[in-house]
Amino acid sequence: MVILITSDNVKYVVEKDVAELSVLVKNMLEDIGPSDEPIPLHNVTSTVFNKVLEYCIYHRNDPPPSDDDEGCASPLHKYLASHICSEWDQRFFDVDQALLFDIILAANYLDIKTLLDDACKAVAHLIQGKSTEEIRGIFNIVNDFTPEEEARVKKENVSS
Amino acid sequence: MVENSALSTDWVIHQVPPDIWRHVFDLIHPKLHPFMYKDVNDIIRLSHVCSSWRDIVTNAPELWTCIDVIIDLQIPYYVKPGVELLSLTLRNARDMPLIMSLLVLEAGSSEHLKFDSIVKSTKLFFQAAKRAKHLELALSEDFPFEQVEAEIQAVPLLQSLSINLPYSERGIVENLSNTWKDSPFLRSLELQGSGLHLQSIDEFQTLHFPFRQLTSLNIGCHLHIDEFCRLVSLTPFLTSLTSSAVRDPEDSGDVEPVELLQLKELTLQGGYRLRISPEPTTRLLPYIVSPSLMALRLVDDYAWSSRSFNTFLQKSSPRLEHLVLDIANLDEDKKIDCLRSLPFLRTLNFRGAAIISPIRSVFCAAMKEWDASTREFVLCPRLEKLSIDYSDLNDTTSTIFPDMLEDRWQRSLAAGQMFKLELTTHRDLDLDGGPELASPISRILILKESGMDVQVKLDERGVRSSDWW
Repeated sequence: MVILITSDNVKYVVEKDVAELSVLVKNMLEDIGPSDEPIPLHNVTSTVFNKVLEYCIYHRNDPPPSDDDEGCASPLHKYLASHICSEWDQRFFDVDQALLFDIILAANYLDIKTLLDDACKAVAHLIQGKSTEEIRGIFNIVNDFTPEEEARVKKENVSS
Repeated sequence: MVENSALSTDWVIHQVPPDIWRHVFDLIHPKLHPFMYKDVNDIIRLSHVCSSWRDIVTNAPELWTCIDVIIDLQIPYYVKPGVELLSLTLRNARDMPLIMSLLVLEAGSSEHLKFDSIVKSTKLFFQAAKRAKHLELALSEDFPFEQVEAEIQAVPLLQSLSINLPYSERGIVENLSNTWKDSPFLRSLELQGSGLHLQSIDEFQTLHFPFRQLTSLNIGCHLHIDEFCRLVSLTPFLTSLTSSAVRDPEDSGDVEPVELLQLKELTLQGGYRLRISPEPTTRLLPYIVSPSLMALRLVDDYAWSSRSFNTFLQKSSPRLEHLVLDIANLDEDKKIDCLRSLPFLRTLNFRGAAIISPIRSVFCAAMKEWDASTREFVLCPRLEKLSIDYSDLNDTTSTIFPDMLEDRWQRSLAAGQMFKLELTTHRDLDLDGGPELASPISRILILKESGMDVQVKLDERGVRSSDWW
């Protein structure tokens, strides 16, 4: 078992194989060697870590992302596999945007590639097929182009 | 999927690092998709959101490396993207190797090809093609090569080439021969179109196509057996071969089988769904000698030839570990006979495009058969993964299939081996409780709850129409 402490001082006792899905934690464990010393996770709060942990426990037995155990999947099959999240994943990422981005930042900090990829897919799904105005609306982004930049942007007619 | 909660203004811009956005943007631009032409406007749109995103997008050359030019001859002046957008894309891609395709949609006037805007875009495409690592060309019969001749140059970084030859392909192979003149990294070739035949194969050879460099070949048209063998005999170092079914393989005269000693993966594509009915794919197998073969996919097919399959096994003696049997209405006994001869199988996949190939009680009973003396299953003793379409279960009120699953799973568990099920559906599942608690899916979900590795996938192709319940 591994003891992890979040930035808000919440202690978690986690099975080693689950904790080691994080490359950051794995490297730290290797550095300190056999020890009961808790590992601090400075940039992750318990609210976000609860979600990260839920994901890691569910996906603990997944094969590595590049593994193709049929060795003969068609390009379409590979495409579908890489673009369609499982039903569980869809439910997992059905959270408000702030938490979704916190999960992304935590996955990035903890270096959990599959979680980062899946969460980024959820954001990409929000953007896909949307107009510029719609994207600004979704993420509450302000159009900060100068008049000169705005003119250049308009010249790049997306329908050409 | 995700609700739009009240993010404070520009929160995402200030909090999310550019590298993360770059990764998200890369996922939006579906360059992995092999069958859909990419729209550079997806990326342009992102660069119009705000100055921060514009900075990220224009400084991420990998987002601009897919160059797909489409010319539609039914519409005068139709070329996408136009010269300006194409130039912008190429500029932003900087020196990155490119993934390029040029598609000329026919059934219109070839006079349109001479329009200035089309010629300019085509010239720019071929000038940039010298940076291509993947190049796909589907040209029309009267493509005006004389206008772009000077632009067709050697492609030194080329790794894969796809050519669609129209019925009257005279001149296309010759005109494109510069592209493979100096391509030491070229490993993959895809040939499509009705213009592929003995003469064009010979022309490729005469024009020094580096067939012996190839490790992957995809033949997307229905050749005759002599044409198939002639082409494949030029590529002795293939590790992966995909082919549509051949025509008239029984009338093959003195065609010799081809030795592909390094072949690991073989995919033979029938034409069941499209109602193209050449010979069954299995009939091609005796013409391929491939002792190293590990993965065999027989997909979208409508018939099975035990004789051809057994001849193949005798000649090649492959140690097959992965098998896809997507063959409509494949008889239970034949299915069992086939599996009996493949003791090293690790994955077995019945999923696919062909219409229902039911899994019935005889098959399930055979899969349960246990040899007490060897302490292993008689059929596929090393099986680690079974993939099926749910609609293949013939009787949705029967528990025979889940009984077999449970048996195999429990015995695998006891032996410390892996055994998982991949179940594909073509409709959304109500996994929280269906109307028939005794149905296979309920039992399968109970197995999943008990710890068996069960993956349920929704196949968005939705090719089947049978009802879930």
